[in-house]
Amino acid sequence: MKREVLERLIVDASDGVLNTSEIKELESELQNHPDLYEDYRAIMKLPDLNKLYQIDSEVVRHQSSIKSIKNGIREISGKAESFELVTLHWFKRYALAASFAIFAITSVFSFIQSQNVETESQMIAEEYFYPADESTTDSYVLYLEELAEE
Amino acid sequence: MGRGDWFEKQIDELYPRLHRSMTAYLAGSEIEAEDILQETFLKAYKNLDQFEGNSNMYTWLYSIARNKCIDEFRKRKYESNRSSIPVEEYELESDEFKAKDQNEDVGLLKEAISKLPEMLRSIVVMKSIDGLTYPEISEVTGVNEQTLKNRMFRARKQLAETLKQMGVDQS
Repeated sequence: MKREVLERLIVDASDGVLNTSEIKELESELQNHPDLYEDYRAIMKLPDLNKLYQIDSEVVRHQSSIKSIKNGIREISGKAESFELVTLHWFKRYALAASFAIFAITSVFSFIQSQNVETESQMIAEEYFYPADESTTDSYVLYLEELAEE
Repeated sequence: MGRGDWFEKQIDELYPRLHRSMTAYLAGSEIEAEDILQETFLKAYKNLDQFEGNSNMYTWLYSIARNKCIDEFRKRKYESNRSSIPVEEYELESDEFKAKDQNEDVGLLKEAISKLPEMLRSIVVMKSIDGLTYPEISEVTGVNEQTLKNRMFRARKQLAETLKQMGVDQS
């Protein structure tokens, strides 16, 4: 067995995840590596570190630190709620939909505008052939007749 | 529940545990766990979009806090301009433990942990003090589990040697 594998097994043994037969097997293997066997014995004697530092469950102890963090978060949130940032946030979120909407709205406006231009042109042409005010035509005809008489 | 409310609830739940870990990790240094945690939670809040919902919030916060500490070690090392050894090999030097608990094994044990290089100390704190699993430590450090166990072997070996030098009875 390689040294690296044995080192990992020693760690497993000290973590308490090996059963009795696995530990016996490991110890037997370690007989071929006296230096590792020494390390194994020293490591197995290490005290439990789990209770070295206790979680300070007293809320009062951490209250001021937690309050300070929460105030910091509220400051950040307050800034983030400014009009520009909110707009930017929503725009980024719905950028694709917004692009489609802008494209669609622009297209509709262009279409309506082109329709209007076409209608106006048609009206001008029609006025030449079929004038709405017939008196204008009559005056023009009279004018032409006067010219002819002269 | 809004994003802010949810995160504030997480602070109440996770702060005490993270505080214990950072206290153990920073023991012997002049860096305060409170300062690191303040920056950690604010940074986490700003980057909440990057947090993947199905991953572990505690290990995510832990990795931010650890990176903050490493930055601080580097900064202080740079400022003191003592040597060019990498931060992973950085050992803390402090009289903190001599001032208190000098005659108690607990104090010596804390001192022995603080003497470990950062790379080994962080694994010991995460595994033996905080009780994280190797997959969780792997999430925090980005190192695979096998390598972590080999490092843990080195850490425990060094810890045993230091305690022996200190004359702590381990029988």
